[in-house]
Amino acid sequence: MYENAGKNRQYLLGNLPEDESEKLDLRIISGENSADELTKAEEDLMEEYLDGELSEAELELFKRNFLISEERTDRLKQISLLRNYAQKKADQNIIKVENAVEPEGFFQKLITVFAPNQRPSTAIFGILIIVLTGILLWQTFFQNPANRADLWQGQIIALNEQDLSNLEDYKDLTNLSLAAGTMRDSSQNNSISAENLTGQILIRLAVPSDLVNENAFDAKISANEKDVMTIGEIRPYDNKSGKEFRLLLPKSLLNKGEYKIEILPENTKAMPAKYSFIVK
Amino acid sequence: MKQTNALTQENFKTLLNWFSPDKDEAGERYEQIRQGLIRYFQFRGCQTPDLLADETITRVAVKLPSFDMSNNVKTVTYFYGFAKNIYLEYRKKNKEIGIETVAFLSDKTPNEAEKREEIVFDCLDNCLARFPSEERDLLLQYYSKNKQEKFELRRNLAAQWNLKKGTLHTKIHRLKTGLGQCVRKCLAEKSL
Repeated sequence: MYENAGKNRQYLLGNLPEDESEKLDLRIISGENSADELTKAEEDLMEEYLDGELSEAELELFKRNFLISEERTDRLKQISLLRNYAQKKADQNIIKVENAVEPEGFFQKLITVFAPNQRPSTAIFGILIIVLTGILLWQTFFQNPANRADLWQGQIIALNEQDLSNLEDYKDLTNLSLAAGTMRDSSQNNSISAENLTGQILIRLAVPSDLVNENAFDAKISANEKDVMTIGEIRPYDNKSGKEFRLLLPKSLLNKGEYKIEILPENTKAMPAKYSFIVK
Repeated sequence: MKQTNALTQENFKTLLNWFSPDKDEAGERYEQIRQGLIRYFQFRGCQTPDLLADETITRVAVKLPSFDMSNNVKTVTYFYGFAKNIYLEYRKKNKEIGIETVAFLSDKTPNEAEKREEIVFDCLDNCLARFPSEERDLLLQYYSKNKQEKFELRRNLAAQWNLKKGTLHTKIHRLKTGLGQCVRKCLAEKSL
């Protein structure tokens, strides 16, 4: 249903080439294009705006071509308020749970280490703990792909919203083709060297036969058994032997380690397809 | 936007006859085209899509006698040609709107914004209390996470409700529309 999501998004931003835009205009007028799909694309854009996930260029288009009616401004306000309200309610519940479980926080314990009545050796020990914790946090943050994905998630989502059908455009990038299933030979096809990666990596995932009739998917990426990010609404592309998903990932996301990509069909009854690879 | 000659009864009759000699079918086709044009102007971000759709129909009806019908152009294509011009005229006239409307998030002092948010939240409390609890929870859960976390959450919600993600979104949109009407009424009563 949402294979046109990227195109609809560009249309709403006024960033679709003239001929494609005209085709979509005609489909809208003649009722061939689903209004629900476009409404969803509108609200996705609004949420991306509120999340600060639009790139600078998209933000400019959003202001110039999208947020130009009171109706849309009202809807944006409504979503913004509803999100604040829903998160406030969720937070209230979380606070109750946290209070019940852990009355004394880490920082409260730490403060006692620096209390004036402590001996100098205790204070030095405290400083040492802070320095080590800082190093540990820094390392954890920058070594963890999930944190790196947080930093660049808007960019990664935008990368994968573009039309990836013309492989010629990506021939100079590191290409990795994977089949669904368990890792058969990690030393061969399913591994890439971290040293030879291009700035972006094109990952091509063969669509298993039981998913060829589905057309809306999410791609969940995990690294070393930890969730990194989910890219919503990716689409299958035709290739010579059937269909494949294509994902563009920035090199900066891929440290050495074992990665898994789970393709989750929108039809929740269909089984997800799993792919693995190693960055050496 | 330049004004078109008013739509005469004669023009309108000719237009309907162009759609179909059968009156019922012509009426149905007219409504389809009108709704399609409203959608077009709406998704192009126009302020008054229905008025712009009517203006398009009027222009087509007035110019209809001069159309060359021998080249088998689809009806919808004629309407699109006129609609596109009307859209360009609209954008030319309203080009400054975009920048101004975005200012809404910062147009109040923090105190004013906080007070206003409190009042809106009161209205949300009242309006959501009228929703069946399952739907209320669904709506709040749907918007309880931002950024990356929301994808996983919404996927789980769709599975929980046994809905496709698109259908879940349509359901949320419908709930939100009902909620919006209630909140607007509530805010009007509080003179906001």
